[in-house]
Amino acid sequence: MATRTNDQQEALQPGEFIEELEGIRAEWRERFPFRIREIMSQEEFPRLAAAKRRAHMGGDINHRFEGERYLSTTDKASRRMQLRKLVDEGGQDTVGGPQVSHPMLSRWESRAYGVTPEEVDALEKGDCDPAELVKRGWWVAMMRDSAFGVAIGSGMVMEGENKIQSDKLLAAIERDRQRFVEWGVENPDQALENRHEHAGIDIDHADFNEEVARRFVNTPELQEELRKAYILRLQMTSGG
Amino acid sequence: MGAQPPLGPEELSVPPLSGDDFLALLDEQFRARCPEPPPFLQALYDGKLSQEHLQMWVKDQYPYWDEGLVFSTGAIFIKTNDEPTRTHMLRRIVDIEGEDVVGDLSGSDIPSWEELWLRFGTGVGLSQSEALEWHPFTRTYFAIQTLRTYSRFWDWTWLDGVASFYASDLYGKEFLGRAHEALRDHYRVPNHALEFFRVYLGDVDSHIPWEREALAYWCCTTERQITAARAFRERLDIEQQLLVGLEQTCLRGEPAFQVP
Repeated sequence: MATRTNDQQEALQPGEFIEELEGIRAEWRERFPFRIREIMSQEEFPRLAAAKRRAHMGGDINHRFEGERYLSTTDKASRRMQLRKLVDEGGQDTVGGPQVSHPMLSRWESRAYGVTPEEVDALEKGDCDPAELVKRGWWVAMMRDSAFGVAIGSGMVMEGENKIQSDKLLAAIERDRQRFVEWGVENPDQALENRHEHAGIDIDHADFNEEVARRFVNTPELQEELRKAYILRLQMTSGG
Repeated sequence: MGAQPPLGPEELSVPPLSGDDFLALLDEQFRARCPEPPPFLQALYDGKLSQEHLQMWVKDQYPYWDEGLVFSTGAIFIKTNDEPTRTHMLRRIVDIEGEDVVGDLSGSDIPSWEELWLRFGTGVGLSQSEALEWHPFTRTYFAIQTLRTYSRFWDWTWLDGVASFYASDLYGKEFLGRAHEALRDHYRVPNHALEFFRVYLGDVDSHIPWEREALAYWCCTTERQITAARAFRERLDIEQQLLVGLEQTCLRGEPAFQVP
């Protein structure tokens, strides 16, 4: 999948550019379909726990990449929207809201699969999984080195996907909730809140990402930079 | 870490102070570094500044209250991997950027510090456009850029950043609290224009306790204590350097350099 614009002289119109990115996603999903996760049996828990352990290794990076986006945003209104996103993900309870931080939601999910808080503490202080080290390293580097429109626009890949798939994701979570109750999983609402949050709040965040890309990724060079970041992010989340 | 040579085994083999003793050391260093108010603020307290001087204060310090604090606080936030401490920092950023950013969650409509600072300017007869068009004194600019880069890069660790917040809050509580009283009593600045001071001082009061707690707990090695104390002193120096151009121009009548 090549980026297309070595000889592109003028920037695409915003709508045209977003459509092109969605086309890249659609083409990608033909080869690497987006999987709606659903847990059909408790026998899957050990595999899910292993994946969660890998994710906890080396600590949570949400504040690092979202914070980098915040820091590089030179448009004040967009920067404050990005701050609002930091609060949504860093914990709405910080300012009197209902939702805990995303790292805490991730811990709740891990707990349901048998990964204890003490184990998470130890994993976070330990080394990162080597593949995750370089994937996350690139992800943070891209936030640091890119124009803010590109950095925030790159969120269209995953948050945009969650927006597209939101109904299916929420339905699968609801079916899992019923199964968790049947299986006697302790506090099923907490166990599923991480997935529920991403299937919901990501819609607002995806809209914000797209709006920033429309307004600020407005030269051929910036559009090429975002195309490249977009494809790399697809690759990153597909085993790259 | 600025350009200081690294600490050797001799310096680092000294046992660390207890948390309480380390905080006492910082408070002692605050008194040593700031034995009296900066001359500009002393002149303010004494009722010796003109309206033009007050206007110059507002417009020259605006970039500090705006992008200087936003950037430096965000940069320290990014470096902080301890979630409870980082959560306090997030709250601090919300205070700086305006609680109205999260008004739907908090019910608050308090705007950003920079917006309140501009309203203070309006109260002393300065238009917003005059404030935004001002080219800051070069020394002010240098101080802001130093704060930004030390916060952003390796010069300060996350914990040094907490020490920097603590220094700034002690300084603000001590000196801007008195400025608030002087503006109200000597200069008759309308009450509504002084909201900046009430909001800022309230915010500072809410942050000092967690900063002390974090410094007492996390500065648990000699090296951490040495570097955090240095960052603490450096932030006090930066705060004082922010006023040098104003002192030169307003108190000594020697126009200071301005950013081109």
